[in-house]
Amino acid sequence: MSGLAAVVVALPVLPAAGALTLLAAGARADRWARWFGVAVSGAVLVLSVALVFGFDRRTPARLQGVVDPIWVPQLGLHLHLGVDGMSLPLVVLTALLTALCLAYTVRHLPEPGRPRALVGLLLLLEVGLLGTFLAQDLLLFFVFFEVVLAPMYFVIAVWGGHGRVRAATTFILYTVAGSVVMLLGFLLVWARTGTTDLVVLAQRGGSGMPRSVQLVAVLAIGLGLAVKTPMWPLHTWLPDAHTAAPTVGSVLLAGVLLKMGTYGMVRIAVPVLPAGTAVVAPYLGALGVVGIVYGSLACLAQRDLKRLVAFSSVGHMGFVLLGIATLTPVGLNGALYANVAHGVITGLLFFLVGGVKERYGTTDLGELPRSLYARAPRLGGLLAFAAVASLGLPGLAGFWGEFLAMTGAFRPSADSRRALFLVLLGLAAAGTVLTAYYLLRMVRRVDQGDGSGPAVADLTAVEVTAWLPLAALALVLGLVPGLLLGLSAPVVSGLLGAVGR
Amino acid sequence: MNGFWLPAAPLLAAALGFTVLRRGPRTAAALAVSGSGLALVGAVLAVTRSPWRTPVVTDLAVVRTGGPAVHLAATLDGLAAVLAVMVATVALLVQVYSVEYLRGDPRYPTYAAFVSLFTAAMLLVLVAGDLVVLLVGWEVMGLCSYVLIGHHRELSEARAAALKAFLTTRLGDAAFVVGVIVLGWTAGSFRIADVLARVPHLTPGTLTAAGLLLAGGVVGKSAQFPLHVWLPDAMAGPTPVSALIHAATMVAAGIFAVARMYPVFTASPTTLAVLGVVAAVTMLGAALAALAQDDIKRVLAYSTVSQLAYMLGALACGSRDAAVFHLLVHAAFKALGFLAAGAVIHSVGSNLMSRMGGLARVMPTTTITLTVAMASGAGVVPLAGFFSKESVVGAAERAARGEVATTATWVGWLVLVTALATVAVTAAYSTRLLLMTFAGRYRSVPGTAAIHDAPALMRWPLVVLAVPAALLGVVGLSAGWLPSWLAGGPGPSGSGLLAPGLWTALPSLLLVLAGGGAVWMRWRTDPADPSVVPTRLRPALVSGFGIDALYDHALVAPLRRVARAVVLVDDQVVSAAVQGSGGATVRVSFRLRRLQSGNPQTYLTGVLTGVLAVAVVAVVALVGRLGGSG
Repeated sequence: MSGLAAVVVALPVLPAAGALTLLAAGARADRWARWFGVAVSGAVLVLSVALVFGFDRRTPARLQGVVDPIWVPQLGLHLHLGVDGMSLPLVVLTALLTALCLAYTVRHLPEPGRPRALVGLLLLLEVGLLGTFLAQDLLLFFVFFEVVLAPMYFVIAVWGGHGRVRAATTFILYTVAGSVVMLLGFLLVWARTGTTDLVVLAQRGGSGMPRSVQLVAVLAIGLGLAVKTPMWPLHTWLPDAHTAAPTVGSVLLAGVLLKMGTYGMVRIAVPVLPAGTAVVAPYLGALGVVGIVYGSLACLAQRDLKRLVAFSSVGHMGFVLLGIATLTPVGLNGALYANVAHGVITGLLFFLVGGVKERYGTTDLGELPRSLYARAPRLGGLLAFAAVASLGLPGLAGFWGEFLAMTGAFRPSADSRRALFLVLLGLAAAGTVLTAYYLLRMVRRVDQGDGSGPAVADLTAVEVTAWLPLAALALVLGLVPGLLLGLSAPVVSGLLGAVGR
Repeated sequence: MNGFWLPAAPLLAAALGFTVLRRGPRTAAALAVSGSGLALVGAVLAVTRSPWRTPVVTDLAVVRTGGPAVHLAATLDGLAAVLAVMVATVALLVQVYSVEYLRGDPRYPTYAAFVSLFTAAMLLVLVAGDLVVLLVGWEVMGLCSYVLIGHHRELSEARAAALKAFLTTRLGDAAFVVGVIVLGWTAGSFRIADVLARVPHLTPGTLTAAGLLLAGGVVGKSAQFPLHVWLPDAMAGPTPVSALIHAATMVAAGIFAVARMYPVFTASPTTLAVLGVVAAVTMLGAALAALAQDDIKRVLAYSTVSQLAYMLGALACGSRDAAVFHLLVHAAFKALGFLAAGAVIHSVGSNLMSRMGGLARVMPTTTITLTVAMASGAGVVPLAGFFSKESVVGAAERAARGEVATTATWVGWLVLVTALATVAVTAAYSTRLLLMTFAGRYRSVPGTAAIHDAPALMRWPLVVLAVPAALLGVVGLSAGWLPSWLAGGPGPSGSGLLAPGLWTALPSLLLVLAGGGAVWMRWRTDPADPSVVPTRLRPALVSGFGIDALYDHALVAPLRRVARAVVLVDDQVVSAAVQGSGGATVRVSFRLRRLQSGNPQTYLTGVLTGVLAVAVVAVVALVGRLGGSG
């Protein structure tokens, strides 16, 4: 096994071992669980950085650090893991956000405490997330995809705020229902091709599956992934889940969990079921753009800060869907870029909203004083920065994904759909104006004002530690787009080879 | 010289400024002034490389996007270099002036850093060799104007004006971005040189679409009808910021973008006609609105809108050089106008001209410099504004005579007639401003004795700016250097046609006399407000023809209503969905609620068991059903 492969294996194994250790340690572990969590997730972060340096950037389309031991010999199932230019950024994003969340938890433990359980669940969550992005086998992907559900359910249901049980239940019902359908889709693919290996399936590019079969499979798989994304109108679990979840839960939910859906579409639907994907793509694009406009409108009238940020995800992920739906290299690159950028920026926004809630005890826009610039200028400034990054200002991370997705929409792969996509492009462009509107209204409401309201502390040391890396990343990814595009572009052109362009 | 060096200095000043916010105003001022000072040195050095037969092209990196490539490229040519001198000069003077104007303001360090960033963004627009790079500077400018207009954040009108400025320009930018995308695909690259090289091969439809989409952004940035509404409100920002926005950055960027991409526009008569109509409507409408305002900054703001329309009119009539000429001269007299008005406001303590009057005796420097600014803007011979405005009128005349192949003659006539009519109105509002501010008796509370010229740091920028505001026209034309400077740039330039022609100069001088004279006569009988507008029409002019109210009714209010409806519907759908899943939901949640009373170990065990169960069930199901076929 090569060094890189060892890292790939260690990435999910390390947090799993950490979670098991906490499980075995018993109640007295509550005292050191949080520092243990920081250590484990820090080590995972170091591993992910090692992966970046070990990764051969000249051939990002090649699957690297591959491990492929046999898992269930009777079925020919393999534990096939590996990393390429598409999954590498998401692996790093997962490791980073989890580490920052655990660092944040050291000083900001949500009610009702129980650090051992919380840290254990977050580590388990990390296992599922990393596994999902590393899996190169449909069933393995599914298993890791499911591993994520339970810990997130408990994080919301136990450490959440008002309405947590209902929100957690909605979350689990929606996603489990989606998963079941997705599994049926996977089984259909397997039944028709005799393999679940993603690399093999991608190479075949849907051969052996007639268009009708591909269509059924892509509908089933796509439904499960679309619930996660979330795609309008399957988004209704999201606002409640985000609003109820504790800060770290929201950060990971928006920052990484949603990306599993869109990542799955690019990783599985596009190369494995190209003919089916081509049929559903226009609908996907249309629903994505509906999400952009709908999400922005919902944000405009939102009375709660946390709910506003939650709804903004519907809009932002709409751009990701639009990019995917174009089935063009530039659109897919945009989708993958927007995926990462949204993780960074919305993760930061949820952290900041958590900070606001801790200080004022509410996120109700009617009750919050107009005072952050005056009372806590650094917190207020960072919130404004995150808002500006989120509205897609060129030069910050949010811009590239939106811009490239729209670029793709101008020339979608299917010429017959040109007119539709031009309309979608126009609506998406209008959506960028609405996005700016609600985000700057939020800044006006929360930041700008006479400085009334109680005195509050400005950024604390742990907040700076947990938040500044995300702000820096939002700037770096905005100024050096080649960092991500250099990784994703070669992969994407390989994937689309199967669509027959 | 690498074009990226021009924005580098103010960018660095901004970055450092943001990191040492707590060091106090001295450090902030030193950084801000040296940043724009270095940019000026760089711009002057760049200009000395004349003539510009070959632009300096820098291509630092190519970003693969899977579609049109993005180049991290800069183009330093005559157009960029000449305008960079203007931008850096105004920025430097604004920074110096601001040290005094914002003395004692605790937010000065943030302010100074954002002005530096603003300058850097504008310089980046000038040197951008790629449309996406241009877009970065373009939007960062929008952000800076948003922040600076909202500087007095405790005032609700400042907050509202900031938001309005960003959103209105962003609305235009949405079209601009799509235009960039269209052009990028045609050339397979967003590099401006590649795009312009493709222009001759494009279909008329594509060119018109791209031109009109770009024009959307231009209309927003340069505050032209119907997206002009943000600029008059933007005076809620500190006065030096207005000087910067109205002269050197933001509004200038729109005109520059057309000049930079000029072949795209001249290739489509439709686009030019639209530009011409927009210019004509804006030019006269804004000048009339300026005639009725009481707030001195609002007069200047509407004046900017009107003057920018002259530049757009020149562009519509096929003369890039006339537009750039007027842009340069306007930058000088409008920056001077705002800074001098700032000196007045600073000492009087009010923006309202009805509270001023009689200041000539106590503020001589301000009086002289503001008079130079307004007279230049009104086109009084032999000040710079006369020559630059005449070059625009001359361009319109040539277009009206059918000498410009790309522009329809009716567009030429439209621009020509409106421009001449606007000359009279411009003279009228300029005279009115000067009379109400400086002539007659001081009208506000007693205490005139305390009012005096501004301190040195605010006074000297006025004197420095008065020189180009007065002389730029003569110097520029007699040496004939401006056309040759600009000639090296890309695109047709129509050089050598900037000199005033007798048949347009004579009537426009008469119109200046008529407009100014009418206000003068009126002032002798009604010194309170010598507006020549009939009283019945004044409310319409004061409100800018009610366009703001129209937008509120037709756009903003419906949008809010739809947004509220969306929230309502979404909430109901959520609850319906949860209730709809009925018994299952209740049972599951009941069971889970029981689970919660257990200890964390139970959860973890439960989680792991659950996951394993899912995996096992999945595998077993597979074996059972598909084992044979697998």
